[in-house]
Amino acid sequence: MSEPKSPNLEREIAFENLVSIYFRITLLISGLLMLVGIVLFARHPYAFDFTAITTRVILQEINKLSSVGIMLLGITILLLIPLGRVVILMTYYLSNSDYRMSMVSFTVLIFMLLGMIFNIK
Amino acid sequence: MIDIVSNCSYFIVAFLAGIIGALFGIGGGIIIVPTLTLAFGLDPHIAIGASIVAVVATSVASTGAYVKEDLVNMRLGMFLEVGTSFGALVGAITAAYLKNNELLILFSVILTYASYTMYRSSKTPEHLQFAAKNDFLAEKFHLNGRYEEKHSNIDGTNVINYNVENVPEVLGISVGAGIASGLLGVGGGFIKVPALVKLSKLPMKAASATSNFMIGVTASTSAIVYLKLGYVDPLIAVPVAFGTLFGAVLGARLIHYIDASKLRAYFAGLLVLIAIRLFIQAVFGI
Repeated sequence: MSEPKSPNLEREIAFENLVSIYFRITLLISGLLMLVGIVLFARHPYAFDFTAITTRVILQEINKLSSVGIMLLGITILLLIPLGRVVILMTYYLSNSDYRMSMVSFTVLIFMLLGMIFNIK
Repeated sequence: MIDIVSNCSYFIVAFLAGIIGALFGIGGGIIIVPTLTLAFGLDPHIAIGASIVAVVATSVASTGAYVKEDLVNMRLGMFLEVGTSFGALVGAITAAYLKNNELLILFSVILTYASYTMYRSSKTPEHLQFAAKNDFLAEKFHLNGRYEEKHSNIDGTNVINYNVENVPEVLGISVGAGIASGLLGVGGGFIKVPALVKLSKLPMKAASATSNFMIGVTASTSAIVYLKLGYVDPLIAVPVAFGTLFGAVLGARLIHYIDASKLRAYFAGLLVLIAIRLFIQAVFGI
């Protein structure tokens, strides 16, 4: 069997704990927003044409702080949690001068950002 | 317009899907999409959009716990995410161009494959050995890992060190898993976990945790595309996400009380029946 993966194991474990906390806090925030949104919607339902959602519509709804807008904000935060995790890991690898893994993380980040900017409609 | 009764129905269906997914280790997405399509008559694109958001929520929640337990091999996960995120992007963009019946046919194929892997795992006990040494990519990127077992092993230590083999092959499979995830709104763990265990020789615990870790990024990549295309209806996606999340938490606790391994073969048969029903709907429209 090989040696443990990192020469700086304690630092790595501390970092993993940090990532774990990041996951929990951001999930809590997005979960709360979605919950508030759906409760508000149940109290005051209104017609919303979900087939026309674009980035602009999402931002408009969030700006209005309507129930659907709050739900969309929660969903957006939820979907950005993994992106934030990739950025955190990339920063960590860079701070450890681990350029190979930094490049790997950067490639993943590029694919995620491509999904954001890609516009089919 | 969707009323609160529909919201509750989506929540209940997703809750049950989450329990079943956690019990059988296949994730909720593979059950949610056919249920929303067949039982509620939803457009498959909308069903996939709701499912993919639920997959992200479940992955993020479970990864937090797995990372805390130090079960996730982050370096290997990040390395394979290059393949899964690329596949997810390709899959989600392709899904936008596919018609509903084409998506349903693809889903029935994936469902049949999932039931096959489930049936095989119920019949073949795993007696796999850890890899003796890293392959060249694992060596170059230091992809070998370690985790702590709660019960001590024979050496008196409780740290399990493992190497990683066949990384290029698993990277290729990860691209396929990413495409399946982006196309059909599933996590793809039923493709990745067997590959990590059988090809890369990872311990099952590390393979499951690392696969879960990857699923978040994979699903998020395609979910953002679905959101921008208008396929994520918040009034469906939110109850489905909550239902799946709570169901998965309960399912993970029920594993200790229910011997799901005995039910796997029967459930695999049920998945084949659902796949046939989806296929009939796709081809004959009934």
